Amino acid sequence: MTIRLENAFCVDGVGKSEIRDVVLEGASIASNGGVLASAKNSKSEVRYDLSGCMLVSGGIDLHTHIGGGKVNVARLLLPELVQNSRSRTQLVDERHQAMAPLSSPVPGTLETGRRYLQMGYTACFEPAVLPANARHAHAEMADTPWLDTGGYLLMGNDRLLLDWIRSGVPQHQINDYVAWMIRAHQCCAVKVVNAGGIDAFKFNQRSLDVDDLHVHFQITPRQILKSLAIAVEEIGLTHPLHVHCSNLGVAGNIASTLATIDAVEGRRLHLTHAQFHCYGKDGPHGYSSAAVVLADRVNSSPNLSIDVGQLQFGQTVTLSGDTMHQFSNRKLARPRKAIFQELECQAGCGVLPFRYRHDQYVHGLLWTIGLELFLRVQDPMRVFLTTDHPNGAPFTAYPHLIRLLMSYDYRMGVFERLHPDVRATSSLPSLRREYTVEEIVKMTRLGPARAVGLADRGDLVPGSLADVVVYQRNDNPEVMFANPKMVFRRGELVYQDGKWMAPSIKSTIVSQVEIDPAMDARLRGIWRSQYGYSTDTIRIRDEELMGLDRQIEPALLR
Amino acid sequence: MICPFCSLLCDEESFQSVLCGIRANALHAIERVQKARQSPSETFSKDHLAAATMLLQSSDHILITGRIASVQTARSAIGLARRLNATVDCAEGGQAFKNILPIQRNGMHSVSLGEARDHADLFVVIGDDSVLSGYPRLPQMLCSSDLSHRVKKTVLLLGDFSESSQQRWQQAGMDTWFIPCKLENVPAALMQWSKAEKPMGSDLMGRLAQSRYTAVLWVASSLRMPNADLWIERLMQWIAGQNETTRCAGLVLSSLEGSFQQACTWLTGFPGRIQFQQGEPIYDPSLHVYSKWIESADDRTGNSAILLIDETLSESPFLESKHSAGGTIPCVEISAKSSMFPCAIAGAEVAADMFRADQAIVARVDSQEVAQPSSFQRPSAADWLERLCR
Repeated sequence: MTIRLENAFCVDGVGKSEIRDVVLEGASIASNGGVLASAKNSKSEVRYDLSGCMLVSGGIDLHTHIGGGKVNVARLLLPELVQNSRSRTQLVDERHQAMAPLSSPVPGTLETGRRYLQMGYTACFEPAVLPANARHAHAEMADTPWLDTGGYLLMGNDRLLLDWIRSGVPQHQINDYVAWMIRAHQCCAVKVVNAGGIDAFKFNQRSLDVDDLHVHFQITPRQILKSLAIAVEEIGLTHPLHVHCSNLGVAGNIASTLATIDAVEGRRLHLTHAQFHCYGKDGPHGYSSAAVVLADRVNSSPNLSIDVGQLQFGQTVTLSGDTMHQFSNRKLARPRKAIFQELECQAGCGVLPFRYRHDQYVHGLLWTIGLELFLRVQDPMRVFLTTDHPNGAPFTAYPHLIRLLMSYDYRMGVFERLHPDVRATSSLPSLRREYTVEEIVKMTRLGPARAVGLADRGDLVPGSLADVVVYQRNDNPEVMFANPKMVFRRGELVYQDGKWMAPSIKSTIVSQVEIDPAMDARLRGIWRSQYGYSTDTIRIRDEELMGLDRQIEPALLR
Repeated sequence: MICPFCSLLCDEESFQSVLCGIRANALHAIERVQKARQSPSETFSKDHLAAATMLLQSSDHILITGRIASVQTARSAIGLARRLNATVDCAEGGQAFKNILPIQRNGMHSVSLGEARDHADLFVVIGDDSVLSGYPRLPQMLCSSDLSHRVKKTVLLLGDFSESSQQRWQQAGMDTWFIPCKLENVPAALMQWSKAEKPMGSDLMGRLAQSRYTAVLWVASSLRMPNADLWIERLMQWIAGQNETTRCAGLVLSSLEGSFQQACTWLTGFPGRIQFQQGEPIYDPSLHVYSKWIESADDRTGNSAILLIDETLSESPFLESKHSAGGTIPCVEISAKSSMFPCAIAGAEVAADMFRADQAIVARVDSQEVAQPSSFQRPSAADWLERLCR
């Protein structure tokens, strides 16, 4: 089947943005302008006149919590937040508007897939796969239709790793372990959450900064970060070490964040939900923005990338492996309940419902800090659009967020509703930058694709996957990005004018790093004594993953 | 080979029954399944399928219930329930909801088994001998990790434990203390103890005060008291309070229901006890209970039907009610023991997923590990469900 998309305004951040035709042939883009001899006037060719429309590649969310234990824990904790079709008409206050159009901050898999597709997203990455729950995470993501998915493996609090670092094992042993874990759990990157801090909390240590000693293992987060950054580099993972820094949400935590950057000694590093990690201690409430400090550092360091984790006002739920800091925020939970879990000598989990308010000083400040980061970091290929779904806001806030970035006046309209002390101290009004549509496309398509190592998508270049989205052009970007006219996945029309078609083929993005066969034997005994089960039990084989996804099409990192 | 039903908790060397929430389901060797399978392989009966489909499609009220062990079957059951606007409750005896309800009201602190065995130095076990009858080798498992050998572990048994139960904890190498008491009084007593001045020393009170990580273990099925969920809620509040100064968490051992609940939660947003209305799940943990659904059959207008799925060889009947026993509500049974829709044992005869190592439910059995004689070529419960109502 050949599909000719005619007269669309094509934007991909690679070529010139212009009106032209794009031809989809099979699962790939065949041409982005010229006429294919094979397709010319072919009877099997389907043509769409897309005059007045914009054509981009499918969106990629490189940090969204859509699978694994903590998401289910959040669902379990908060049944009262679910709005079914009957209650939805009754609950229209700000608290619930933030969730709209989702039925809950953590909806079921079908709804997650539908809403992502409805915004034009075709690939999403779960950024915190606990090794012990990896099978669950993959099964859940397999049930999330229309999306290619992948996972980042949690490793910064793995007790075996911490023990080996303490023992001073050679780096190649750590490299082999990381590679083995990535392959065994079918993930594509390594995630660190509060390096060593989750484990330290299990020993009743209530804080752990980058150069503090873990009370039991007597090692520092700096050592953990460096070891893992080297491992990621040396085993050849495309995505850099994906780091949730120490001191999440703590006033003055910019110092920890800069120390984290320094810990990897110039190696590639991705700082995730950076908005939660760049606070100073100044200002009328002892809490201030340090966005300029972090943005300057990112701008001057090509080894760094960030995603923002922008918050949006209203009800959501925060879920994180960072048990230490989630516990310290327990009294802020709204509704007033929380779940904390300590899991399998590998990590933990803290789930707190949260309600961000316009008129609350800190909440307003965090909102401005996120936007500051977006506006101060110059290269849209190194700052990515995320809300850390659902921690800052549900992912459905993206169109609104895009409007905030593209319109100074609109941004200031919301800013005027914030706490007066925020308005008095924030530098946001001085940032008059307005994102162009090319920049939005880079930060939501091309940039994430390259950051995760997907060379086959993110642009409209011939040979790339035919995952493309058609938006009806509109002066209001929120309207435009909230509801595409058409979405194609692998050349198949899967969404058109508010209607979802049958789910199409799915891929699980996995890294094919090489592993040392000796590691298997080495781990077998350790696993048995430490966890009580064998490595055979935990390993997810390729054929099993394909069975989970049913129509899986393995996509390899290049 | 790994145990198909509690791989995290079983003894791979001997295949002995070790730790499994429902012992009758603990099929620790394929041989046992083979013995249970005497009949030749059944083939799909189109007539039976058509009759069952007609029954379900002509029913105004449908209950889907049973013992679902695999993610695949949970998926199929939920999909069918969505199409038929059925009620779904697979919480056998409601035991899991004794824990779920207080969690939904107040949250909780919990610890997984692997973490507890590696980390906790004090176990507070509340209940009676049914803890060890349900989980026979729990003491050994909690004492067997490398790290745990560095610290002498202590177990405090609260409730009604026999001499032999106490000995089994001692034999595992734990300092064992037993305080006989009424279970009803335990949360209040713990709260009171927390407020008291703590003596230091080697006696029990001193040992408790010095604990660095306490894991509190109870088995919901042993709580035979009214409002057990409120009892658990109070215990969870005590655990939360302990964490203000030290570390403490509840150790909830999972059962076969866990795999259904996890899959149901990600598919619908709820852990079960739902009724689909126009394809949308409505959750009501006090209303959409299978026993209540059956008991209220007389009050409903229209036809009712039950779809019972049992992927185990459990000897105990799942449905015990005057209606189902008397046959007044038509029932389609997909089970390992059924002659009409016999399904394979998930994890033993067909592949199933042990998808959470921290709450091991059902291990995946690879095709080469599954014996291949023709008598084993039974459809899975998921296979049957996919054929129903199509």
